[in-house]
Amino acid sequence: MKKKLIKKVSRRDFLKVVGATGAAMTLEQFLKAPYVGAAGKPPILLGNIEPLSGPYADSGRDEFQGAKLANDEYNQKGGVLGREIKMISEDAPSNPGIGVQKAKKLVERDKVDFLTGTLTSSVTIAVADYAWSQRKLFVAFGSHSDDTTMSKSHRTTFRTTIQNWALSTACASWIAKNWNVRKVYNITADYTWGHTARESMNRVIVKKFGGVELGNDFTPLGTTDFSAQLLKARGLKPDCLIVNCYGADQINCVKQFKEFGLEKEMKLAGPLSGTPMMKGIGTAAAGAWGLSWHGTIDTPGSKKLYAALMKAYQTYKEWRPSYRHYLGYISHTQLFEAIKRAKTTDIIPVVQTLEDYRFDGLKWNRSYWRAFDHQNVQDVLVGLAKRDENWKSEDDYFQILGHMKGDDAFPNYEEWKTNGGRELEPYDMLKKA
Amino acid sequence: MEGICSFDDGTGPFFSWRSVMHLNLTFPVIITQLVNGFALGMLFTLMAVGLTIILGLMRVINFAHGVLYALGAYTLITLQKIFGFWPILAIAPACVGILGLAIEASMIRPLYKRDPLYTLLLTFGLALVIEDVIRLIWGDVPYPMAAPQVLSGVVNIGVAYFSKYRIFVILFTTVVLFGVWLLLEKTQLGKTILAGTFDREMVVILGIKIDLLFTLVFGIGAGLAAVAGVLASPIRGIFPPMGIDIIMPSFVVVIIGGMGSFWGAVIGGLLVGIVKSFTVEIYSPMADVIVYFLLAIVLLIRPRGISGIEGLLE
Amino acid sequence: MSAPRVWFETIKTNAYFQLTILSIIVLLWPYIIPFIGGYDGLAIEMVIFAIFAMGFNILLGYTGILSFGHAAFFGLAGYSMGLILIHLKIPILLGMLFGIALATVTAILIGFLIIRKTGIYFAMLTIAFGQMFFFIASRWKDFTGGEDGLTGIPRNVIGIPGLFSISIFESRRFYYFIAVVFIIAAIVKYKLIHSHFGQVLKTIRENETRAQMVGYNVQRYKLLSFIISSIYAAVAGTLYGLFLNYMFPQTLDWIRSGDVVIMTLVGGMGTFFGPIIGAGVIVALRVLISIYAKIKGMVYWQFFMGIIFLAFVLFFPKGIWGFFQKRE
Repeated sequence: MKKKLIKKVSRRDFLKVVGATGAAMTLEQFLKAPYVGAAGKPPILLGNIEPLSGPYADSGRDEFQGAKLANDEYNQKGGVLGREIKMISEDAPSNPGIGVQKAKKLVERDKVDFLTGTLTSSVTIAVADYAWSQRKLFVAFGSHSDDTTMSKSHRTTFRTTIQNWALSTACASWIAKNWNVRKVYNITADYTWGHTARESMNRVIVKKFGGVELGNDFTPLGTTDFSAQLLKARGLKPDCLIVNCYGADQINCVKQFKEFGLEKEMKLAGPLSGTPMMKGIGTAAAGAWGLSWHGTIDTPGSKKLYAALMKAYQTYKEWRPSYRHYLGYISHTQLFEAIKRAKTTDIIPVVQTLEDYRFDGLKWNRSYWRAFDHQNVQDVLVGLAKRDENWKSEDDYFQILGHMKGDDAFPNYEEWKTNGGRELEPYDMLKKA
Repeated sequence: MEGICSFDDGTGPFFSWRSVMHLNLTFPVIITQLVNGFALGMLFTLMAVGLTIILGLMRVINFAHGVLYALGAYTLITLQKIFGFWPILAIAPACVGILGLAIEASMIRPLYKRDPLYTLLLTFGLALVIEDVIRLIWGDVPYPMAAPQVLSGVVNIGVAYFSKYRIFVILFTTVVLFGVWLLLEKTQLGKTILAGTFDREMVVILGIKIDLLFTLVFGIGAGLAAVAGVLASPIRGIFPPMGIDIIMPSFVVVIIGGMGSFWGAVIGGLLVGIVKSFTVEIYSPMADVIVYFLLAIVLLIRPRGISGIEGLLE
Repeated sequence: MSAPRVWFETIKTNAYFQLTILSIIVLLWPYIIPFIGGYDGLAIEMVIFAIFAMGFNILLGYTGILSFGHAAFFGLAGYSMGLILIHLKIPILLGMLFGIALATVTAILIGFLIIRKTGIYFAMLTIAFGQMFFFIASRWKDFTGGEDGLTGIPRNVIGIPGLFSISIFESRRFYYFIAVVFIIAAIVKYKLIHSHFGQVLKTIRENETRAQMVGYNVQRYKLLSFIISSIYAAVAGTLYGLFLNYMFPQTLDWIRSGDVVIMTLVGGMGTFFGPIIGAGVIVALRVLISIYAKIKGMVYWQFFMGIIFLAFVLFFPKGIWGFFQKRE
């Protein structure tokens, strides 16, 4: 009796399932209506991945804002090639697994034309690999890690941020020339970024200027107590302490540098800093640092961007734009210009017109994305961190000391090759996997 | 596979001989690290004492201890402008302690009659939620917190330097721990707690309101965690996941010291703190792992710990 | 009895029926999921974690042992498969086998050391070992890629050279490969649970001392349960590495291990379908929360996940599936 019931239900159930599936599939095709813009032309879809939560949320938000400003400016002028710019923003707080998952969502579900953004190097590299596998152009403007355009380069990746090599070269050259620094002590964050930063600083000071590294300490990420390292440094009496750390590590190190009274005995410098760090360091601000952009740059292009950013995003009196805004803005702007020049969003023409095209990077010399590594070669600034009674706004965190021309700061082709540079894939590989 | 064992200045795998040979263990360095280790160890002890009593008496594994520690630090941020640093050392544990009482009474108490697994899962879930609540209220950005003016800087005794603040931490924690010891050894409440760690049924039979006792103990543990959080802020900075860094080593201390044992927590805390500090000096990449090595060794050889009660949860 | 009632009763009792429906749902899932805002990548991740949670449930739900370190086997398998596929161009199936074998051997060694401990000692030991692997993965930069992770894990074809070769590069095709693995894993688990072995595990869960007195070699059964659950974790780990073409250290830490505990609980401990549903729900929630649940523009997925988890711990300890069906 039971057996017969089961058999009957089986068949009925089978039909139900088949019927439901059939209905579902037809419904899906029906619901998947294509995107149609107002004038009948589909919009250009950009997928922007940033950390909008987590410890880097500030920087991620700045990058997003810079990019959005560029989008809005172009949309006001009628879009690019008559098509509206639409950006879908995803949050990927420093976990690369989530970064790739979000990239997949943007490419597979939202069908974006381009990927942009990311901040931390691990997320950048993971997303860059994925973008290559999908043959999607990815403009990375968050990661400073050399690997992104050296050992992990791709024909689909274009990187706007100044790589560590260049930041360190500019900073080290400046302190060697202006402060006569020859003996250094390094405090290095123990991960990729830190290691490459230190190597670059040493390359300039030791090899180029004939100096010497008196000592080095590797500190694990998240170190809050630098007393041991600082006291060691004091004992060895260098001309300058080099802080190859970022974020909270940098904040703690510099604060303790001041706390132990070391600024009377030696100089301080580091390859990379920014407003978020200076906010935390407060009155202990000191040192010469490599910078990508600063609000006080007096070129007409920069001043125009500064005004636009202030108008769009100023939330409190002391708020000023940061270099992350600049990176987002210039990346999106130049992407749009490239699309205009290529007259299409197809990847091969856009890639080819981006390569080696000189444009106004809002600094003193023109910038360009180099053909052999897709690194954006641009002027590198060196700034002095300071905090005194004259501080009125976030612009006053740094005083620009000078800048170095891109071609002098970035590694040339031989240096790139010897340090792990991986040749970009040939163009015809861009024609789908 | 070239590059497996690269020895470029200690960036290789676990262990690089060259790095160890560059050891700079001079006397000043040893003193500095001893002080650092002592101070760090005291923080671990503060956390572990609370954890171990909660574990011993209530059989609750409190994964939420880390966020209670963090909440202590965040109270510092909010209330520092009103009260300054010093009163917060008392206010923070009071606030977080009360929160602890509320948590125990509302969420943990209903789960006692179930498998002990559930209290663990609850505290784990709480840790996730409270960490995000911290983000919601105070934001994601790390707050660097400066030590009070009078305590900043170093004490220079010629042959070595000591961080003033760390010395303060050591002294203050000693006072707090002394207070806890007094409570446990000399008061009726304390003796009841200790008795309950040994034999819960006996305590119930004697008519003591076990519910209230548990709630109180949890509150005290939370308060101690908050003190640790406040003290740790100038050393380690304040950021939402700060609890995660400290909860694991604290559990390790509990086990090394022996569950339910006050002195075990003290000795274990100092041991772990000093070992960690010296590992940072000798070979920093191992600093995080060394704690787990210690744990594994202790658990495999002498699970009851230094002075724990035999058979407790074995 | 009315037809729907019969239908319901049949589902509740007939195992083959249940497994068949499960298989059909899994096979059709990529077509169903877009209705809840999903896409192939999401479906793949759901199935991978369903495999992980399924195996984990054998240890937690059926044997009553809590491990907070299973992510170590997940990650270890993924990393070792990734490394061997990158450096020696061997077929993917072989690479997977290597990864799974390595993780299993590790599980055997660790299990041997720690299985005699119980309760919190055991859990803490699993955390300790898990964290050790996590730190190896994140610090040993030259070997594992360190914090940046291991990039470039290939995924082109699976097959036995000379016999057959199927492309799994495309997401949809990869999903069906995983679906097949999942179905096999589910059938294996089902057989295990309903065998004598499964019965002994349940006895151990209820009362270990009594099981010992009845004459079972309790330690051996616990060890086997541990090893089997880690094999599932390893399989899931290799699939995850293939899915992302990438492995990163966070897949190994104790918080990730906590994820699978959450999935098992929310889905329903000690039930067959519980962990599968739990995995699907948690994976979907995580992604969907971070897309849709924003407060003031910021995402607080940990908060929402935690609240849901707490609700289950406090009010629905039997989990979703347990709500509908008694624990087995």
